[in-house]
Amino acid sequence: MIALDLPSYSRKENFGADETFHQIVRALARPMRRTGQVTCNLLGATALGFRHRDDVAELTRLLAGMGIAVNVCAPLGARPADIARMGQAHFNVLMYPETAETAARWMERALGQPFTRIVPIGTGATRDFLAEVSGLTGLPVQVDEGALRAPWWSASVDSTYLTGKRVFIFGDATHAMAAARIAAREIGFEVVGLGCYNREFARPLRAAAAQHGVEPLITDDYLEVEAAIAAAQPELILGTQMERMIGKRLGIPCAVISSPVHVQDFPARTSPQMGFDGANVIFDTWIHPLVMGLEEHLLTMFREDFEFQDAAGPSDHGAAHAARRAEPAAAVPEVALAAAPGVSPPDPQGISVKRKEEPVPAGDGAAVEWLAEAEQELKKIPFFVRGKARRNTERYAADRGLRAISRETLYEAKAHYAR
Amino acid sequence: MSLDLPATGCRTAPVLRERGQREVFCGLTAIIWLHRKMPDAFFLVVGSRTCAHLLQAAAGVMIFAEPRFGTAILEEKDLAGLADANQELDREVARLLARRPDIRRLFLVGSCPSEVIKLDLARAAERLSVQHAPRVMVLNYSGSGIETTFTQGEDACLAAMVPGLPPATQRELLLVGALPDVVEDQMRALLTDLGIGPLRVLPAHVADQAPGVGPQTWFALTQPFLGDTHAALMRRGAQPILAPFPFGEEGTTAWLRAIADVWGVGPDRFEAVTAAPRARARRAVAAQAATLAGKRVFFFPDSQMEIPLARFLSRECGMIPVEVGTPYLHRDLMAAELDLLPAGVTLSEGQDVDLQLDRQAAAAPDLTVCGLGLANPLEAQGFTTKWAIELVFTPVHFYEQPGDLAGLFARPLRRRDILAQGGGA
Repeated sequence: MIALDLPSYSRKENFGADETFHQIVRALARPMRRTGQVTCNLLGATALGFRHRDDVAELTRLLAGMGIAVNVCAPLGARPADIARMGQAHFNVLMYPETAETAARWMERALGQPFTRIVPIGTGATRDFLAEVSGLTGLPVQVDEGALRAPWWSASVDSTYLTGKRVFIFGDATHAMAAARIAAREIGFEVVGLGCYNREFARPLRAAAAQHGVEPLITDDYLEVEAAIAAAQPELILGTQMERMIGKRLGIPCAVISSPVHVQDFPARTSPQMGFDGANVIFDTWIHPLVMGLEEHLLTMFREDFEFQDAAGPSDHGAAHAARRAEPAAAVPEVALAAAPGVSPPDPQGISVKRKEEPVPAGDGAAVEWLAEAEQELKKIPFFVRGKARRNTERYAADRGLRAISRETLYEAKAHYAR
Repeated sequence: MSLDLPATGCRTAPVLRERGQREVFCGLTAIIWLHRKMPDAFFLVVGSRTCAHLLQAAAGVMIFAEPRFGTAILEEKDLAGLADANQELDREVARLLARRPDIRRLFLVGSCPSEVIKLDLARAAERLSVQHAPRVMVLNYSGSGIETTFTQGEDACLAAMVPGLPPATQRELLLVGALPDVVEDQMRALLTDLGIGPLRVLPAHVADQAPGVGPQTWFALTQPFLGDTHAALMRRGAQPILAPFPFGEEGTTAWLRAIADVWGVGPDRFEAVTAAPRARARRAVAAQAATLAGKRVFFFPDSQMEIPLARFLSRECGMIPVEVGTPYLHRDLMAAELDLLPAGVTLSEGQDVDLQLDRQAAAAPDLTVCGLGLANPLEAQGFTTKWAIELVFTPVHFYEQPGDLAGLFARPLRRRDILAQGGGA
C-alpha cells in the first residue's frame, strides 16, 4: 500500500502522474548491482501520452545501436516487479520530464543513477541526446543515420517555400520547446508564439521563448490561447487537440504535437516523435496541413478564378474549407459589424470582430477603419496570409495615428514590413 | 525625366551560343497558368502518355471540379498511321464540347509526338472551328519541347490568338502577357492614374472581351518571353513600345515612362502618380538587398526572364551576375535591358548543359538560378539555388512586388543560413 497526497484542487494532472510515479519508485526500487551490459531505464512514458508507445520503440532501437539495452520502461507497461529491479540500470533516460522528473531526481540521489536532460525530439536534439548518453556511459556514439531523411527533405528546393512560415506553438512544455527548436532551426519556420499549459515548467519555457524572441504564454485557459493565436495570425498551429479546435474555428491549419490527444493521435502505424524516425515523422506531419508550394502560387495568382474563391479553400484542407464559408461576402462585413457591437456574428468572424471591438489605439484611441477600396484589395491577398496582412496594416496605421486605411496604406504597410 | 544610361552596358557584348542537351521544361508547362487565366478556355494537348503525366504531375496539385486541360493521347495505332488521327481528334473534341458548354476557346496544343507524326493541328483547328462556330473558337499552337521551352508555351498561345482578333477602331494600349489578377489590377490602376487608355489586355479573361488590334494599337509586353506574339502583333500593324520590363522599381518606371511618352503624359503628372509607389518599392527592396548585396549569381537558361532579372538583381539589389543564360536572346526586345546590365557579364544563349554545369562549378556562385531538374542535384552538391518556375508563378511585376521578387532570391540564402545552425547545434 502506497499512500499518495494529491491535492487535486490545487495541483494538476501532470503533478499527479509525476508524484504517483515518484512514490511508487520510492517505495519499490532499491539500490542493486548493475547489470553486466550497459543498460538504462526509460522513464515517463504513459498509455495516453502523445506517441509514447512509438517513442519507446524508437529509443530502444537507437540505444541498442550503441550497445545499450533497456532494463525497465516505466510507467508504461511496468509491473511492480519491474519497478523493484530498476536499480540494476546504469543510468536513466528521462523521456518525459512532465511525468517522471521527480522520480529521476530521486533515483539519482538514492540509486546513484545519472539521468539524461536532453529530450531527443528533432534531428539536432537526437544528436545532442546521443552525445549526452555517450558522455554518461563512455560508449562511442554509433548510430546509422541512413534512414534520417528530414534534413535533406528540408534542404531541398521543394521546401524553400516553408521558409519563414509563421507558426504558433502550444502544448506541454517538453513538446512545445522541442517543436520550437525544430521549427526555427530544422524547418526554417518563424516561431511567432510559444506556450505551455503546465506551470511547473514555466521557467524553462520562458527561457526558450526568450531565445525565439516571443512572449511566453503559460496558461491553461484555452480562451487565452485562442486570443493569442487570433492576434498572432500564424500560418500553422502546432498544438494539442484543443488548439486543433481553435485552428478549425479560425481557419488555420494545425498539426498535433502534444497531449491532450484524440483517438486519432494513436495511429495504427509506428509514428514516433523521438529519434531520427521521429524527425522524419514530424517533418511529414507538419507539412501536410500546409498549402503546398505550387498550390500557394496558383491561389496567389488568380484570385478571381471562381474555383479559387475563399469559399473553395485549398483542395486538401477541409477545416479552412468549412470555416471560410462562414466568412461574409466582400466589402460589407467588418465595419458594419463593428458598428453593432451587441450582435454576435458566426465564427470565425467572431475573432476579427472581437479585435474590432478592441481596436489598436490610433492617436486618441479611435478605431482604425478599413475603407472599401482597401478591404477590396485585401480580399485579393490569399486567405492564408490575409490575417497577417490585416494585422500588419492595422498596426502600421495605428503607429502613424491614421484613422482610415486606404489602398495606399495597405501597400505602404506591405513595404514597411517587407523582409 | 530621363534614364541615366551607362555607356558600359551589354548591348554589343559577345554571346556564347550553345546547342546541346537542354535541361528545361517544354511549352506544355505554360498551360498550368494559362488555364487559370482564361476560365472559358480548354487546352487539349494532342500528345503521348508522357505529356499527360507531365501535366498531371505539374498541374494536378489541385483538384478542380472540372479540369480545363486534358490530353488526347496518341496511341500506337495512331503513331503507326493505322488510324486516322484527324477523325479520332474530331470525335474527341465533339465529345468534350458536348459535355462542357462552358468552353468558348479550345486550344489544340501540339506536342513532341504530334510534331513527329506531322499531325497538322492548324488544319484540324480550322476544320473544327467551322464545325463548332460560333460558340467555340478552335485555335492551335505547339508546346513541343523540340521547339519551345516552358514560357514559350505562353508566347505560342498568345501569338495563335492574334490573327483572330477583331480590328481595332481606335487608339488603344494593348498590354500583352498573362499576369496574376492582383498585378493586372495594379497595372491598370497605374496607367489609368496616368491618364492612359483605353486599356486592353491579351489574353482576355473571357472570349467576349478579346481586344481589337490594328495600326492605331500601341502595345507593350509585360513579359520578356513574348517574341512571337510581338511579331504577330507587328504583322497586324500594331506599334510596339519597347522598354525595360516592369521588374523592380527601375524597370517599372522605365516601362511606364516609355508608355507615358507615347501618350504625352507630362513629367509632373508622372511624378505625382509614381513618386509614392517608387519610394515604397525601393524601401521594400532595401529590406532584402542586405542579404543579396555582393553575392554572385549564375543563371541557367529557363524562362527567358533571366536578363531582366539579372538587371534587377545587379542594379537594385547589388548582386554580381556571373553568367546570364537565356534559352533565346531576342535582341530587339532585350536592347534596353542589355544597356543596363553591367559590362563583363557572360551572356549565353541556348544550352549545352554539361559544359554549362562545368562553368557553374568553376564560377562557384553564391546563388544559382535554374530549373527544377538541376536545382536539387546542385543543392545536394552544396550550391544554393533558386528554382526558376517560381519566378513565373509569383506576382513579381510593378511597384508593389519588387520586395517579393528580391525576397524570392534572398529566401534560399536565408534558408541555408537557418538550416546551417540546425541539426548539429
